Amino acid sequence: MATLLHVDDLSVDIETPVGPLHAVSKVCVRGSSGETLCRVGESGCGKTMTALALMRLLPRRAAVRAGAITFEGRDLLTLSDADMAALRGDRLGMIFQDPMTSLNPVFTIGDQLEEVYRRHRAAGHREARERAEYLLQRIGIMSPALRLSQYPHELSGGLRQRMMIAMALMCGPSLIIADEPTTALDVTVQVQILRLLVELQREFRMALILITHNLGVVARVADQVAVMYGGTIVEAGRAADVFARPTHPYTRALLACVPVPGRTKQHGRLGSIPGIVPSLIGDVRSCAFRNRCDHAQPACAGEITVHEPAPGHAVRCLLAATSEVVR
Amino acid sequence: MSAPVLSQTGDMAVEAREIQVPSPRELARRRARRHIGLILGGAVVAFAVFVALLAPYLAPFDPYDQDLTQRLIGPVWQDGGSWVHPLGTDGFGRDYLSRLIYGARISLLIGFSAALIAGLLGSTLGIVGGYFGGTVDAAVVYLINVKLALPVVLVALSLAAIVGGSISSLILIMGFLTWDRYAVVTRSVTQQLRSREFVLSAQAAGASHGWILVREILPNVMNHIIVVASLEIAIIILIEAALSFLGLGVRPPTPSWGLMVAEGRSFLFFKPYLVVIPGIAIFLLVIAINMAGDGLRDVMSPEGRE
Repeated sequence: MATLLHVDDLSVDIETPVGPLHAVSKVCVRGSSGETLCRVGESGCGKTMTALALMRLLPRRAAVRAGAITFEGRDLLTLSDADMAALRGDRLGMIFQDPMTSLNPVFTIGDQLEEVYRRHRAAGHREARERAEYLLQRIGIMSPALRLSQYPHELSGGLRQRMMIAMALMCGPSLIIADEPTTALDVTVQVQILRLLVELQREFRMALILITHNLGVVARVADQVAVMYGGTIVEAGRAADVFARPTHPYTRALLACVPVPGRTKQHGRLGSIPGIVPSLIGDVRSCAFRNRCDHAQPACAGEITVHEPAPGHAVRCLLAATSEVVR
Repeated sequence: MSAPVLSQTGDMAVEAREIQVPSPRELARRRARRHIGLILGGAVVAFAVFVALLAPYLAPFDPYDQDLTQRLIGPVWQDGGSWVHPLGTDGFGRDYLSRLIYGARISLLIGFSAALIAGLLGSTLGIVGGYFGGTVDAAVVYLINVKLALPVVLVALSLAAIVGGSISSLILIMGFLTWDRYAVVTRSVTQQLRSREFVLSAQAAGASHGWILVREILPNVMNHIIVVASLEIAIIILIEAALSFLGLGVRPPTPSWGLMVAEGRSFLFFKPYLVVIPGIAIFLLVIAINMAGDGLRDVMSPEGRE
């Protein structure tokens, strides 16, 4: 399968009065059409920063460096601003976390959906409206015409997020980045939205980058998983491998925090990770997790290399160097 | 969509009827209907605009027509007054009612035009500064501070004295002296809007900065601009009256209310109506505009006001 998106050694540094903050360091992404990539991690670990850097939507204050960012064979690092804007919304779609604020309150849903299509396709109002109605039908909205004439405040959170998905799909993009698309929604609606996203992704053969902190979500839909911590990917690989043999202590700690029906004992304690996310200012070559890790050793303060316990399963941890997986 | 549906399938549940939330516009309309200040002020302003527009049809006489045989006739309620000149005549025998009616034109023309110029200028600066931030914002804030340090009446007075008091130069002077409040308000509103996700979402959909400023930000700021404008118009009308009274505004024989007060001053003891009538007109128009503007603010953004 041809590689659709190829990101090498992406770093984002933000200048602060006390020194550069390494929001993202040396992150690699590889995605093909029809694949779902999940990035997991707690708040502030650089998930969203990675996505915004890909879209080139970071403020100028943030310095983005990368070995390569290619998308559909085009180098996004050297693309002009106008060409990049033409790509956004057309080939690259993005869905944001909060559907309450992602829609402009003074325009109808229809206006906002059509706008995207008309900008990129030079299409007329009628054609764009037809496309919008077709898409709403596709995502299971019962009365598309009515929905298109409504204002954002008239819709529920779940419906609004569906509209955001429809908006991202208007031009038939080949890659969709969904940044915690279900975080602001009810649990019951979360499942629906997620199922919808994955169905659409399969049907339109898009690549999907799903950013989330919900491991249950990941296990259900991911082809590839990357666990991020402190701006770096600490463990990455095929979802099956990562969930079957979680190797990095952070991944294992995260998995211990998820209650599993049937397996988690009724009055047993759920796992928690002591400590807080470290500051990302200063040196980041050492292991960022070492202050919270049960297996920390003095060597963790040095530079950590990436090990592969299995082909395609990469772990940034000293423990993975010993081929035997610590249980 | 009919009755609420309880169903296992997700799509049906989503389609179940939602509680009908009135739109912000509908809510504003409902509040407006109960707002006495807005209704009263709006009615007076509407009446003034109506009179100004139809002045040639409503005025019984030409406001410039002098008739020295008819000098200083009192209004109807005084001895010697008659319905021929309901508000009497001034020192040149001109019909006072006609001059008052034509004077509404001057006040409103200057008020609205200057507010338009100031609104364009101030809102552009405020939105651009609030949106781009950084150096651009610093420059805008600097301009606002410089403007705030200028004493408006004093500068308007000296400028009018230098360039002369034609209506167009008055409009320009006022326009360039009253843009600060628009800039302050739009800047802070834009800063709040800028961090809302729909701006980022528009960017992610390929919109340019110019498009976002005009299509995403401006419609959300418009309410605030209208409210500021309604209050600024009243201030401009007052300054115009003051300048004209001081002899540096509208030139005679043009019928401006401020000028009419000034001309009536020499008859203040014997014919006080010459000062009182245009004074009441200014007072009524300004207080009506203020009430309407205040009402607009209550109706459009009632948050944090009791």
